[in-house]
Amino acid sequence: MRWPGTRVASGVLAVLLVVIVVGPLVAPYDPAAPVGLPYEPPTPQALLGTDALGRDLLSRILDGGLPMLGTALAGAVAGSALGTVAGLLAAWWDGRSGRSRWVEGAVLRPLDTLAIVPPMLLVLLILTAFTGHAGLVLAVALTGVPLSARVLRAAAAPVVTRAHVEAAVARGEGPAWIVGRELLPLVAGPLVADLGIRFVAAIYVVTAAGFLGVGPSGTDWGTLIVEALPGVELAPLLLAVPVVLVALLAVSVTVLADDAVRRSRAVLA
Amino acid sequence: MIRLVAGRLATGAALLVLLSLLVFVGVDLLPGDAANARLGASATPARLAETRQRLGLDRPVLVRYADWAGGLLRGDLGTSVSGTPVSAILGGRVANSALLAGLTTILLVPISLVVGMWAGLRPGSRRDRGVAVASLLFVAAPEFVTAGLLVLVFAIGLGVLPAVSLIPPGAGPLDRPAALVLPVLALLLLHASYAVRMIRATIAATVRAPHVEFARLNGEPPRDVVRHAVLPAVLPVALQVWLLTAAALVGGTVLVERVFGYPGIGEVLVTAVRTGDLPVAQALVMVLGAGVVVALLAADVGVRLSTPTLRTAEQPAPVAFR
Amino acid sequence: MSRALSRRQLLRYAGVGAGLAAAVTACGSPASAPTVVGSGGGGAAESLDPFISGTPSDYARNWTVFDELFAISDGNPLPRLAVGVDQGDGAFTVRLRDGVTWHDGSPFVADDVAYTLRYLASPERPVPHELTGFLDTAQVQVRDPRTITIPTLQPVGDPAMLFAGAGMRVIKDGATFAPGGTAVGTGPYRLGAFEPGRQARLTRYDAHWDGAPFADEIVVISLDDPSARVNAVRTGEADYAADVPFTVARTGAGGDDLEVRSAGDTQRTSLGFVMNTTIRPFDDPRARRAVRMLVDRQALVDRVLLGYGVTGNDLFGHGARYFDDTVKAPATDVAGAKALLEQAGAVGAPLVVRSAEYEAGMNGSTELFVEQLKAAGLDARAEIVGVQEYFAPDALAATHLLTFPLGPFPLDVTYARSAAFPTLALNDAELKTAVATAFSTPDEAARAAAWKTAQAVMADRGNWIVWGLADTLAISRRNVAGIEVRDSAKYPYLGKAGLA
Repeated sequence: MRWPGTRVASGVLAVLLVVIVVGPLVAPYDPAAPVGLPYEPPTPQALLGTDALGRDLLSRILDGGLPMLGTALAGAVAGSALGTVAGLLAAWWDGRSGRSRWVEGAVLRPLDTLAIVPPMLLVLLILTAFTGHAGLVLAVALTGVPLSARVLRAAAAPVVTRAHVEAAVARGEGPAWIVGRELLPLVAGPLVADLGIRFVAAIYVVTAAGFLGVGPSGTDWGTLIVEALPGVELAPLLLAVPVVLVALLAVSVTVLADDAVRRSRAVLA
Repeated sequence: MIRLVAGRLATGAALLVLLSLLVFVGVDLLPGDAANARLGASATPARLAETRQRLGLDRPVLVRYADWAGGLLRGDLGTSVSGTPVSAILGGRVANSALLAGLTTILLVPISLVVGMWAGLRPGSRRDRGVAVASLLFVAAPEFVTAGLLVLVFAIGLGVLPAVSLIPPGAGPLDRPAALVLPVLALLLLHASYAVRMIRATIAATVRAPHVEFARLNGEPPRDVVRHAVLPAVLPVALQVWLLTAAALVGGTVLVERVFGYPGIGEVLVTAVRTGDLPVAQALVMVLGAGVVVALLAADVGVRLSTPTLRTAEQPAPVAFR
Repeated sequence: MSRALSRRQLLRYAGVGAGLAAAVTACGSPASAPTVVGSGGGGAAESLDPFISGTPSDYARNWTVFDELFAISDGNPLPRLAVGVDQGDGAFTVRLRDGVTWHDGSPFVADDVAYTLRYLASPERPVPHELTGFLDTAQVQVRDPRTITIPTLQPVGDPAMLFAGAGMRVIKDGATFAPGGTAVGTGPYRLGAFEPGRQARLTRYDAHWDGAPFADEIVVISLDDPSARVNAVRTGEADYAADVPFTVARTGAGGDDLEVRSAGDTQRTSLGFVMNTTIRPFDDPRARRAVRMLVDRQALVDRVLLGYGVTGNDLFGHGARYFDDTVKAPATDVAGAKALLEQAGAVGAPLVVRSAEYEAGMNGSTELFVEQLKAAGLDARAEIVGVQEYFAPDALAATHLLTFPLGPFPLDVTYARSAAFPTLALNDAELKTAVATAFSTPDEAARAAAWKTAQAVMADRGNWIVWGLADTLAISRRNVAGIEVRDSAKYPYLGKAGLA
C-alpha cells in the first residue's frame, strides 16, 4: 500500500476493460476470415501480423477479450455465488444454533469431495461431458465452490453472533433483510477478494484447457495463446501479445483482490 | 491429537467414498462408454450391444459401481479400455509425478522462506516491490508458457539441459537428474511465487505488529528480533502454505509434464480423457483424491502442532486455498 | 550404407492414434554401434500385443518386432512371411516362407499363423479385428508347416491385399501379452527393455530372414507433444522424429546436421470433408456438387498446410493402387453453385460442419471452410468437439458435413472405412456394385475397371470434398538412413534403419 500498486492495478484494469468491451466494435477485420497468408509479419494493413491461418491478429485480440472475460467472469461469479450461499448457510445455522453443525456436515462436507479432486482433473472430466464455453464455466464454478464456501463461512462465522445481528433477529427482520443489510456488508471484503481469486483461477483454467487440447475453439485470449505455440518461432508476437494481456489482467485483478483482503481484515478485526 | 487424526481420517475416508460414487455414477452419465471407446469408428449398433454385454455394461449402474468399488478396496483399479489393467498403466507414473511434486515442495520451502523474509522484512523497499512484481508475474503466466521459455533458453539456446525427459526403461527420473531440472524449475517458478507472496505478506504484517516494534525499540539485535518475534508468528502460516502447495502439486504437474514429455500421470490423464478411457480416469481421480486427502490431513495436523492456541481446540484449522 | 532415402515409401493411416501425434526418432551413439531411435506419440496404455496397438510408437515398435504376411510397398502387396496365395473355392491357401525363425530360435510354422487368426478372432479381444468379417477363422486348416488354407466368409479377390491392408502381424503359437512380459517375434529387432508410454529398446536380430539389420539398437521413444519431439531431435537426444508440424519446415531444421524430410507425394494424407447424404440438403446430388464448386482448395492448402501439400481432386485414396488421378475436382464456380443450390431448394439451409483435432489441421480447415461457405452466402457453422465424442452416432447423424482424413490405404480399406457409418456412406447402387466387384473379383482387369467405375461415381455425384493432400514431415539427423514407410509415415518401418 505504500507503493502505488493498487492505483496502477486499477488503471491497468480499467484500460484492459475498455479494450475488451470496445474491442469487438473496432476490430479492423472479421476475426474469423483470413486476410493474408499465415504468419505474415506486421504490416500497415495487419498491425500485429497474421495468425496460423492468415487471420488478422489484432482483430482476433480485440475480439477475444470479451469471450475470455465472459467465460472467466461467469465461472467465477457462479462459483463464488454458490460458495457464498453455502458458506453463509453454514455460518448462520451452525453459528447461531451453537452446538450441532449439521449444515456443515450436509453442505460443506459434500463440497469437499470436489476440493479433493485436483482441479485440472476436474476440469478435464467436466470438459469431456460439456464441451465449449458452457463446460468451462461449469468447470471453473465447480473448482471454486468448495473454496469460496470455506472462505465465506470463515468470514461470516464471527459476524452472525454480533449484537447488531441479534438485534435484527430480535426485531423480527426477515432472512433476506438480515443477509442483505447485516451480513453481506461485513463479508463484502472477503467476498470481493474471493471473487478476484476465482477470476484469476478461471483465466488459468481457460488457457490450460486449451493447452491440453480440450478447450473450445474461438478467439478468446487463452485459445490464442495455445494456437500460437506451434508457430512461436515464426511469429513471436502471436504468443507474446495474448500472454502479456492475460498476465496483465490476472496481475491487476490479483493486486486488487489482495487489497480487498487487507481492507476486509481491517474491518473484521 | 490421536482423536483429531482419527476423526480426520474418518472424514477423509467418507469423502473418498462419496467421491467414488460421484465419479462412477457421474462419469456414467457422460456421452459414450467403454464399448464406444473400444470400438471407435468401427462401432455398429449390434457390435456395441454385444461389447456392452461382454463388458457387463448392460447391468444397472449401481451394480457396476459396487463391483468397481469392491475392486478398489482390494487394490484392483479396474481394466482400461485397451484391455490393460489400470494398475499396470499407472504403475511407476504415480511415483514419478510424486517425485516431481516432492522435489518441488522440498526446494520450495527454503526458497520461499528466504525470499519471503528478504522482501518482507523491509516492506515497501525496492527489493520488496521487485519480489512482489516478479512473484505476481510468475503466478499469472501459465506454467506451460514459462516451461516453454525455459526450454528455449536452457535447452535449445544454451544447450546445457535436456529439452525432454527421456527416462530409459527400468530407470527412474533420479537416474537422469538433469532431466528433472527444468520441469522442477518451471513448477517452482509458479508455486514458489505463490508461497513467497503469502509469506512475504505475513512477514510484512508481523514486522509492523506491536510486539515486534516493542522488541526492536528495546534494542534487541535484528537477528534476535527475527528469531524470537517474527519467525514464530510466520512459521505456522508458512507451514500451512507449504502443505497446501504440496496438495496442489498432486495432479498439478500435468501441464509441465506434457511440455517435457515427463513420464508421469499427466500424459495418462490427458490421453484417458481424450480417448474416453473412463476406467483410467476414474482410477486416477480416486488415487489423486486419496493423495490430496493425505496432504490436507498433514496440513491440518501440522498447523495445529505449530499453533499453540489450536493445539487443544476443537474447531477446524483455517484452511486457505489459492 | 547406400540403401538410401529414395526407398522411403510411405503409407499412412490417418487418425489411427486417436488424436495422438507420433514421432520416430533415431538416436546416434558410438560410430561402431549405431543406435536408432523411433519415437511415437505416447500412451501408457501401449501394449506389446500387436493387435492392440493404438499409438504410433506402438506401431513403430510392434512393426519392427513382428513381421506381417504381406506388407504394403508402393501401394502393392509385398510378400513377407507369406510367399504367395492360391485362390480356391470359398477359401484360399497361403504359402509360407521357409527358413524363418522366432527370436527364441524356434522355427516359424503354419501353426503360428493359425494361432494368430484364432487369437485375433477371440471374443475376449477388446476390439474386434477387421479380418474377422472376411475370414472363417474357426475353420482354418494347416496343410503342412509351410501351407495353410483359410476359408472366407465372403469372396476375397485379392487376399494378399487384404492382409497387407489389415497390417496383420504374425504372433507365435500360444503367445500371450501380459503387461510387464515380453514379446517374441520374427522381426528384424528383438524387444529389450520396454516401458509403455516411455521407451522401448530394440536390439538387432542377426538371423532375420530378410538379412541382418544395420543398427545394433533402436530406441523407440514415446513423446506426445509435437514440440517436444522436435526439441528432442534439435537438442541431440534423438535422431529422428516423424510427423512434425509444418511450422518446422518453415523455420528450418535448426542445425547443420539436421534436415526436414518429406515422405513424398505418394505418402500424402488426403484431407477432406464428407457430406451426410441421409439428411437435407446433401440427399440431393445437386447440393453436393454445389458445395464442391464453392470450396477454394488452394486457399486451404496455402493456409492449413502452409503450402506443404497440393490440392485434392475430391477422391480419397491418393497414393493407392487403382487410384484414379485423372479425375479433376469441379472448377470453382460460385454463380453456378448458387444456381444448383436453388434447383435443389437448398438456399439458406443451415450447414453444420463437425470437426475434431484428431489430425493436425482438421479444426483449422473447418474454420476456414466455414468462412468460405459463409462468404458464398450459406448459413454455415463449425461444430468443434473433442476427439472421443467425434464419432458419437447421434451427433454424426445430425451433422451435415464432417472432417475426414485418410492416408493412402488400399482402396478397399478406404471405401470400407468411409462407409463405416451410415451417415458417411453414399447410398448408391452403382457404387455398391462396383466396390463389391472390385473387392471380390480375383481378375486383375475386372478389379481395375470396377475401381474406375466406383471412382467415377464418386467424382460425379459423390459426397467427398477432398481439398488437399498433406505432406508428412519428419525432422532428422542427416546421417539417419534407411527409414522406410510401409503403413504410415507417422510410424515408419525401422527394420532397415541405420546411421550412414
